[in-house]
Amino acid sequence: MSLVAASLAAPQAPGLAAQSRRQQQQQPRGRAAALVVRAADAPKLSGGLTTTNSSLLGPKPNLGSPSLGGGPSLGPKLSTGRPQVSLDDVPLKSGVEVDYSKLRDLLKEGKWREAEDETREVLIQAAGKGAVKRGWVYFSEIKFIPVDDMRTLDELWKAASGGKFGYSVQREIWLQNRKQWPKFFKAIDWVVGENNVYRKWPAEFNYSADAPKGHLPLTNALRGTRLFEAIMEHEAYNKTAPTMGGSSGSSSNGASQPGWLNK
Amino acid sequence: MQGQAQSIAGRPVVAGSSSTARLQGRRNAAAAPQATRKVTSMVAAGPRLPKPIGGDSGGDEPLRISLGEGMMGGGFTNVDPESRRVVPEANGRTKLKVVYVVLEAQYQASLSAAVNKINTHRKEVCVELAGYLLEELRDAKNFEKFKKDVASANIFIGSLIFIEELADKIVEAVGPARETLDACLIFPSMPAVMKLNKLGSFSMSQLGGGGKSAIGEFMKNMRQQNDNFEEQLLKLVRTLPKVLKYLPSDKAQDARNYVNSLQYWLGGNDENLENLILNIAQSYSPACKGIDFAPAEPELFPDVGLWHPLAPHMYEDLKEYLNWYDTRKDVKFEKDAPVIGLVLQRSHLVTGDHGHYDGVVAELEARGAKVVPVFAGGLDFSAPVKKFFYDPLGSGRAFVNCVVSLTGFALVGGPARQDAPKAVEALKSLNVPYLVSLPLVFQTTEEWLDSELGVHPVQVALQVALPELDGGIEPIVFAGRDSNTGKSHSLPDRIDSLCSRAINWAKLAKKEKREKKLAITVFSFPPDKGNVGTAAYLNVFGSIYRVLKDLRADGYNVGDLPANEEGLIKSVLTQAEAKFNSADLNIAYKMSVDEYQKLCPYAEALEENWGKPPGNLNSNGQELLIYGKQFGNVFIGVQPTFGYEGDPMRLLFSKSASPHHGFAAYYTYLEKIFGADAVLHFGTHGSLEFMPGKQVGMSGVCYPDSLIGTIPNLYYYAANNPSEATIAKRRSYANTISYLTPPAENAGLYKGLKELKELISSYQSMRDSGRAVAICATIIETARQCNLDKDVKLPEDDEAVKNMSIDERDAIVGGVYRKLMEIESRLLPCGLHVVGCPPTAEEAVATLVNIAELDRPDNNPPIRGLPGLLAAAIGRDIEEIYAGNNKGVLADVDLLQQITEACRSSVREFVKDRTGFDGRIGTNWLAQLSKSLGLSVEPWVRALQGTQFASADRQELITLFTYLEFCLNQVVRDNELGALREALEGKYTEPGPGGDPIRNPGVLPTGKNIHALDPQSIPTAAALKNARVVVDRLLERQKDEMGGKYPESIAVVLWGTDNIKTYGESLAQVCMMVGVKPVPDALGRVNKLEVIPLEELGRPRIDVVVNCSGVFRDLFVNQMNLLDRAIKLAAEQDEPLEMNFVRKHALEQAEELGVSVRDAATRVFSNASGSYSSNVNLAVENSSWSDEQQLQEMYLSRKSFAFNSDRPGAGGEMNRDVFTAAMKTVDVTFQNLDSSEISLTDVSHYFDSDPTKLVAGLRDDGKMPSAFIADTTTANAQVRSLGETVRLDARTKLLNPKWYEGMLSSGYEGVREIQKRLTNTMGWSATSGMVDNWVYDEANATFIEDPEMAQRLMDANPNSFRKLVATFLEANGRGYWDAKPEQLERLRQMYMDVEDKIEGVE
Repeated sequence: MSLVAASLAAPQAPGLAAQSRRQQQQQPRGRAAALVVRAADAPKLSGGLTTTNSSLLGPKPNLGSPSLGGGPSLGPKLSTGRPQVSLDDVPLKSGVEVDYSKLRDLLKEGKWREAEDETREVLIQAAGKGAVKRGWVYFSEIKFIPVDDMRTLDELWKAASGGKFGYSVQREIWLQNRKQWPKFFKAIDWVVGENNVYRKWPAEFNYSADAPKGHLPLTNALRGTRLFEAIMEHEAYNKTAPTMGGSSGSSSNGASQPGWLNK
Repeated sequence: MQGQAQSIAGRPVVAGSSSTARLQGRRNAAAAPQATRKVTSMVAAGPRLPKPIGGDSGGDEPLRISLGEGMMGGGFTNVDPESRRVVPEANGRTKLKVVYVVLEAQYQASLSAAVNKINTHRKEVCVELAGYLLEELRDAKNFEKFKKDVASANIFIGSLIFIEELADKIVEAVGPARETLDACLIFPSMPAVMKLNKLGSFSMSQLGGGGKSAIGEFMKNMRQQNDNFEEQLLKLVRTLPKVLKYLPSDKAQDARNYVNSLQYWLGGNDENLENLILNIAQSYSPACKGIDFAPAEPELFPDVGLWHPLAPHMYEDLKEYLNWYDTRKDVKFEKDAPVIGLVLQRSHLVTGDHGHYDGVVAELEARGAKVVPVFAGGLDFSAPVKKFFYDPLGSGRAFVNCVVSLTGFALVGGPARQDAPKAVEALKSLNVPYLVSLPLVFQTTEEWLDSELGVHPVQVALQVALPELDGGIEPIVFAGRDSNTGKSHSLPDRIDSLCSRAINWAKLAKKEKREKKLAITVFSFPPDKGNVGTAAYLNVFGSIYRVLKDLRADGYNVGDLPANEEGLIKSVLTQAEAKFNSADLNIAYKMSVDEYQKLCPYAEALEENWGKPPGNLNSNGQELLIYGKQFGNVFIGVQPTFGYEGDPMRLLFSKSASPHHGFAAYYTYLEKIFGADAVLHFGTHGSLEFMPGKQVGMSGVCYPDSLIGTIPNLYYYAANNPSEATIAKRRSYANTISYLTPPAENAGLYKGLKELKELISSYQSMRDSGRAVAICATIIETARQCNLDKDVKLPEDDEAVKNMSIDERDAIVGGVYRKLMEIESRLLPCGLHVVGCPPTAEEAVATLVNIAELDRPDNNPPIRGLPGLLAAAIGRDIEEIYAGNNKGVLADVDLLQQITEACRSSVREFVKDRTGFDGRIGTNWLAQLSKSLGLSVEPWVRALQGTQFASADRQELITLFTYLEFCLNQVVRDNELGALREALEGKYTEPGPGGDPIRNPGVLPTGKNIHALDPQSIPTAAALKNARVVVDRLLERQKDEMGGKYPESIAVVLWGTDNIKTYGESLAQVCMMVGVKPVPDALGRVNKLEVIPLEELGRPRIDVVVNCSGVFRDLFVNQMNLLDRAIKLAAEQDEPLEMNFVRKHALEQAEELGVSVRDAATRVFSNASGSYSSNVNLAVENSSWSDEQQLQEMYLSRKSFAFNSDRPGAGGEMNRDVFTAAMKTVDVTFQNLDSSEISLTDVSHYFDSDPTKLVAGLRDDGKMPSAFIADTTTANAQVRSLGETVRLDARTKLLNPKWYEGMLSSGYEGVREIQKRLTNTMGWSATSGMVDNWVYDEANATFIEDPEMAQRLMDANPNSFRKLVATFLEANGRGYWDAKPEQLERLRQMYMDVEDKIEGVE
């Protein structure tokens, strides 16, 4: 109760992003250009980008680990088991022909900030044409993203961070906090101060391996928490059926009970 | 907030340059640890701006934080406009400078994007962009910067400038620069700003054309009506091409450019704005001469339409929208999914600033609701409501189940002025719940979160108060504003709350009545079993019983209803299993601590104040207890109390507490276990809405918001209490349903008073005879027995009478007569109202007589009051008669009495004429028949025939009685049950003003959603006029009593209620005292001040100390600002000190406290934000105080938060030094009575706010100040001493058989009402000492010494009777009542008896 995630999350320039995407449609494979425009749009970047020494990140190859080809072990349990997987061992599977190699390379180079941007970009691509045109993902589109893609994204982040970052890691913390967003945001350090004000994107987030568990990748809360919830509830991270379309809103007595009450 | 932020790590923190605050800081250096947290967080998490840390006077205080700067000079916003500036690298290009001022922050991002594009892509030109949001210009530093920017600008753009003081600033800055500007573009704004427009030869005023000038017309209309201007402007844009034909071509080109510019602007996206700038530059900037940027034509969007974040484009037809919507694959909806209509602002859509709208749409769809989001570009949102919210198949029914406006604006009128009737008409026809939530406009998210006030007061006036006039409910802040980009964004937890509430409202229309669950909540305070079901003027259980029967007939499942209302009371009050009458109420549910913690997400936060659950309130030590009783699908529950009423330490120190676990458990039960579809709070008023949190625009950590959760809240509220109703609406999201106060009657005379009246009659008939002396002597003796000796000056003994002249005798008899008539004619609500039970015609008579008494010059046609008409009929002036009466001139007293009687009889005749045989209003067919045959005369004529008033002006009488006829129909046409049934079916509750039905019959009929008034409209000119009369009478009276000396200072109490009812009379009184006149601006909003010169004032400026109630503060922050400015203005007049007491005191205090004169002239005080009342009332009601000192300390510590117009955003700041210094100079304390229904002992709030003894304690000479009460409830306004008023109140209520028998007809509740009056009377003893001994004696004789009466009270409500007995003993114990030993003995015995009865020992 004392927590409130009041402000907004990440990208603040959907207009520009959309613009860059329009350009990108004209020149295929122009994602780099898009990123340049974005970076130019954020001249006030301070800190955060400094810790890029990949040696700190410890993505040491652990060739002895089991294959990560999308087996059943990739549920939430994995993040606790935390076998060290090399980024190169993560198969870049996609059911919708999204290329994840750039994300992998950025992560490999320890460019967390850029990897963070790229994650948002590939999520938009994976969500389909509508999302690309719009420049952002509507929550209802997430369920159409294939399990492969969601796992790839998650595996890449986990591999790069030694199991510290990634959607499934966030999901675990989210569940621990009984799906209460204010507590969850506090736990992953997205809010600051007594009033739990959302950190300002992009400058105030911590793009380094020192960031608290679950801090990355970022998901935009400019439009509420439904997108994030849809990601958290994606079947790639959740063996039970995803509960969308008003799950938490309706219960037997007509009152709006938080979903966790029924669990 | 100074009061809070006193220390960091034990060191005082100092507020900028204010040494008052420094003193304060030192004095309170031991402040709570909380304070430290607050300051720290402001530094760490607050707006990220350079904070002036480090100071100018070094020394022992290493850490100096300017708290003023924390709110940017105390303003409401502190984003540095500098952060918005775009400075390009010229690289040899021509540089243009564009400066803009906008109201709507959504333009900021798209303007920046547009300029960035120019700077990136254009080779010839680059643009420097400096932007200001309108509110920021209040800050002196910003304004200076703005002036500098404008002076060096090429192009200036302004839009939606409708706040006069800021408009003035813009004219001040842009006016001189207009010559040097290449172009100046002003989009819809106040006329003075519009005139700044400059495009070549074009200017607004000169655009004429052949004959009729469209723009000229437009400007004229705007001046005249101030509304619909944007619509008119749009119309102008469409018609202008025709007009342009008549213009010389160069002028036409310029005008065309203006129209084009407006279209670019209204198109709003970055391409349009880029083209706007380029187009203007190539046409008007000499530096760009000859360049053709080839700007594209404006991209146009519909003015009105449908939008959805996923839709390929905007729609202009509901069917087309639904065709797209129903083929969406990403979501599937249930067949009977609720449909929510959203109202959006077009400018947010076209500028691409719709993240907050996306969030709401997503949240609703994720919860399974369908959405129909519509927008309008103008300010009339009723057009899309009419166009898109109805069944597309043409059934005429609403297609949506609930409408949520996300604009925050009134449905019709936007920021300038609204048209509520038009809005209400559209909404009434649609007939679904109408929610108006708001995005932050003037504040950033962080500023709002940090603010104790909540939403910026200007925004509250525009976006909370005005939508309330449309019947809008639930002012939830759903969107924040990012300080970097100015963009709006979702506040996820607020959107969650808004959407679940909207869906629950919508579901009411979907759910079967049989299935619907309703939680009726009753109140109980002070916490005592005798008080369960308290509510002002309401027979609560009788009403509930009526409601339940009504609902049963309507198809609701109300289970096995008890046979009568006593059965209902018992079922809630007594524990069925208990063997004895137990102290506990019926337990409906026992909630384990585990369950509570699991279900109540904020349980942990309460531990700071209340420890671990379950605690000892509403608890049995292991579990939390929910008291109440369920009948079928209806639960009647008892709202827990604040919980600290009996704890003097908390009463004294808690600036704001939190609800206790039992309180939280109650609402958790309603929402999560009982599963209420709606809660119905029953009567005026409970504690929920007064729980701590922001004043308006709550966040997720504000308790009223957390407690009410997602349940739609219906609230039966007394029609005469709009101020507190407004608090309930804003803080507990209530949809109020007004109920009538009980029918008023004249108090009449009884016992000795009645005898006196007869004696006076004999005296009049034998005035000249020899018996006159004897009768006069008897009158004097009887008057003395009736304790009238304090109200009328009576001679010492009979001897004195003998030697009197006839005139002297007349004077005495006249004085007594006048007093009697005052008592006799006093209106009092008789008994308690039962919901849905309108008064009979007969019962309405007294109310109508009072309605008939007032002149209504503003009515159409103007109405003259009946007494005035009758006086005129005999060639007299009613004001003159009033004056004679007030002096006790026997002839005038008698004449006034005859006029009064004539008024009554003519109104009675009239009502009789309209009454059917059943005693209800209807058509009396006999009367109708004789009228049609031309046989009858008007009834009032009949009544006046044969009296001296027979010649009264017939035409005026017809006008008056036509009006009375309307009023009579309104009185009896209530919709109290109907409105509840409809609200439960998910329909719209029609709004209506709250207030006094006598002053404003528009309050009737009841059953409406109460609203206050446009806070910016008061004080009105009429209020100012009345205020002047009252202030003159007050000063005259005090002068008379003080040997010709004017009082130097008056302590005034300001309430929200009386200011709403009187349109700001008491507010205006303060202005009149200091001799400053509030003046409305061009749009009719009162925000300017004029000093009344001393010559005109004809007396000194009187100093004031203004004690505002917490409710006043919540409703009228802008008016507090106005008052503070007025008082400081008075203090700053260079005038002789003996003619300006404000200045005199301010100079002394400035010296003494070491502050500036302006700061010393701080006179406007209230509670800390989110806290209400001095708590003296709670202490008295619960007998939880040791001595008067303690009560005074409560007053001082809770009411000394100063409002400062120089730092309005800071809210109330603890400033006890200045408060004490000001109170020390007070000679007079003063309050207003606003209606006859709420008098001094009816509610505890009056004595709670009375500082009389407090002032005596503070004054150096210890002298008791005079205490006065103004009574403007009747046409003949009075200023009485507090003592007189207390006596009048005791005589007409507590001691009046007519009153207490009326109360006792409601049994249980009636006993409580009697006991409450006695407790409140004792409250007056405690705070003012103005209660005479005889009042207690008489009360004791009436209720205790009469065995029959005592038995009745004991049987009807033993708990309240016990409290009554205890209060007598307490009054004696505290020295307020000098009782005889036998009286006390009887009381003690009675106390034991009633104890036994309650304990069940018979």
